Amino acid sequence: MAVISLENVNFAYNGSFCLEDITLELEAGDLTGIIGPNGSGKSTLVKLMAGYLAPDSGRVLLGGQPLARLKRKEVARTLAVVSQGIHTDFDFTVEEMVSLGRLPHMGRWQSEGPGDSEAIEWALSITHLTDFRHRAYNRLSGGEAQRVMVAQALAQQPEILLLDEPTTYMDMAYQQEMFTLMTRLNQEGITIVAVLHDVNMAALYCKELVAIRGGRIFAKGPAEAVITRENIKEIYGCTVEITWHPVASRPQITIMP
Amino acid sequence: MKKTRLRAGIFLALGVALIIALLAGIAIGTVPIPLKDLFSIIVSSLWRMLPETWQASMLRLGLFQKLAALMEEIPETWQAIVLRLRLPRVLAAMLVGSALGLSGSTMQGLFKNPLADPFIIGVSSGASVGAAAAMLLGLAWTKAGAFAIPLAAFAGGMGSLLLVYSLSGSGGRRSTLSLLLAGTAVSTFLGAVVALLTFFSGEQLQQVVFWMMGGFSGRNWLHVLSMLPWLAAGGAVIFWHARDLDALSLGEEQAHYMGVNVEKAKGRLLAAAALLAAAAVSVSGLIGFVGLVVPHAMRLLGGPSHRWLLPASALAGAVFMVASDLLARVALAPVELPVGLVTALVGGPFFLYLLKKRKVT
Repeated sequence: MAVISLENVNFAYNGSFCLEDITLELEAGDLTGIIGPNGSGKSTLVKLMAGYLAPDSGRVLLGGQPLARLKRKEVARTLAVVSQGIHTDFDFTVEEMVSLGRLPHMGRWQSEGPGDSEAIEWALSITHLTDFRHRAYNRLSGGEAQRVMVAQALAQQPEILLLDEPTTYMDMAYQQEMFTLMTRLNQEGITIVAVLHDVNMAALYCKELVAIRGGRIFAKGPAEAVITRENIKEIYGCTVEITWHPVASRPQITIMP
Repeated sequence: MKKTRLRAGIFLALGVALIIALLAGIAIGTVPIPLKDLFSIIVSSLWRMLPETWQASMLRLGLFQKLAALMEEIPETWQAIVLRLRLPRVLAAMLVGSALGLSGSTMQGLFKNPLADPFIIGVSSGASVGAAAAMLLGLAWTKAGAFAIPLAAFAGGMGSLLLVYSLSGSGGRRSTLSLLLAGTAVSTFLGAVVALLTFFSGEQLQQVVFWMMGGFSGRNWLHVLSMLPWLAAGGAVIFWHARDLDALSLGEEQAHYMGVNVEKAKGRLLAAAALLAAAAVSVSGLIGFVGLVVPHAMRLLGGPSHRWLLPASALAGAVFMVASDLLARVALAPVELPVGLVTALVGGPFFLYLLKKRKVT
C-alpha cells in the first residue's frame, strides 16, 4: 500500500513553476533516494510530502488520506523530517533536542513517561549520541548536529522518515555511518525517502531512485535503470562513465576529466 | 536528573527571595514598620475578610484573641500605610515584573532571538502615545484620571499590536521576520509621535517624562486588580503553548514537522505576550530591561526549555521588580528614583557578570 502518494502535484513559488505534474507513490518499506541537480525542486518535493507547503493543484495523500486535512500532531506521529542545518541561539543540550521529538506524543501538561524515555534512549543510542547527551547542541560540528536532528526525528517514532540532504555536512566516515543507519532503520520497517547529492552513495544504498530535472520526474526505478550514461548526461549535463561496484552489484559513476 | 534538582533549587531560592523582597518592600520606608506588627496587620486584615459566622466560631475556639489584642496597640496610620500604600504597591510591582518576565521569554522564543523583549513589536511606543495623549488632554487631573492613563496606555499598546499584525501580512500566514520588521517600523513611527507629543506637552512635560521612566508610586489596589485577569489569561495561553515554544525556537519549519500548528500557536503567543506587555506598561509606565534580561539570566542558570523557563522568568521578574522598586525608594530617600532607571543600572552589570561567568565554565 502507498504510504505517501502525490497525484498530479503542481507547485510554484511566486508564479514561477518549481514542480510540475508530479505523480509518485511511495510504498511501505521503501528506501528511496531523490537525486537531481541544484534547484531542480528536490527539497520542495520533501516540503510538499511533509505538508509544510501545499500544492497549487493536485493532491498529497498520507496513508490514503489528504495530508492537508490531517491534524499536525497526527502527521508528526507518522512522519518525521530531517532538514538541513537547523540552528538555534539557545543552549539546548543534545538530550533536550532529542526529547523535543516526543512533542507529538505528549499531552500539554504531561511530563515524560517511561515510553518517552525509552524512545529517547533508543534514538540516542542508534545514532551513537549517548555519550554526547549533555553537550550543548549549538557547539557541535555540522555532522554531529545533523545526527542530533536525525535522533530528534527518530524520537518521534515515525513510520516514514524524510531526509533532506542528510549527509551534506559529513565526512566520509559519518556519511557511511548515516547510510548504514538508514539501511538499518529501513530493515526495522521505517519507510525512508532521502534527498541526496552523492549519486554514488544513492546508487549504493537506495532500493529505488527518483531523478528530478527541471521540476519534473525524469526517471524512476532501481539504480541500474536510473544511473546510465545517457540519463546522467541529461539530468546533470555531465559526461560520465558507468562502472560496476566491485562488491555490491550497483552502478557507480566516474566523472570524466 | 541533575538539571531537575538544579531547577527545583532555583525555584525555591526565588520563592524565598520573593517573600523577603515583598516583606522588605512593605516594612522599609520613611515610616518603618516592625515585622511583628506587619504580620499582625496582614493577618488581621485577612481575618476581617472572613464571613462573620466563621469569625465568631473561630473566636469561640479561642483563636485570634491574642491577635485582636495586638491590633489594639498598632497605630491606625501604620495600618493605612501598609494596607493602602505599600501592600498594593509591592503587589503591583510583583505582577508587572512577572508579566514582563513572561512576555519577554515568550517573545524571545517566538522570534528565536535572545535580544527580543516584551516591547519588540512596538507595544511600548503605542502605550506611550496613549498615555501621553491622555496626559495632554488633561485627563490626569480629572477624577477619572487614575484610570484614564492606564486605560489609554493599554489601548495604545493593543492598537500598536493590531497595526503591526495587519501590516505584516494578510490571511493566515505571517513570517516572524515581517512581524519583526513591521514592529520596528511601527515602533519607530510611534516613538516619533511620542517625541512630538512630549515636545508640545508644556506644563505636562514632567509628568510625561516621568511616566516614560516608569514607577510604582501611588499605585493602588485598582492597579493590582486590573493586572490580575490579564496575567491569568495571558499566562494560561503561554503555558499552554510552552512545548510549542521549544519547537518554535528551532524555526517554524522544524516546529511544523514536530507537530505544531505553527500559525495558530504563533498568533496566540504573540497576542498573549503583547497583552501582558501592554497590561504591565499601563500600570507601571515604561520599564525596560527586565523583560530582556530576566529570561536570559534564567536560561543561563537552568537551560532554555520553556516549561522551566516561563515560570522561572515570571518568578524572577517579580523578585527583580519588587527589589528594584524598593531600591528606587530608599537609595536616595526622600527622593524617589524612577524604577526603569534602577532596573537598568542594577540589571546591566549583573547581566554582564552572568555572561562572564558563563564563558568561564
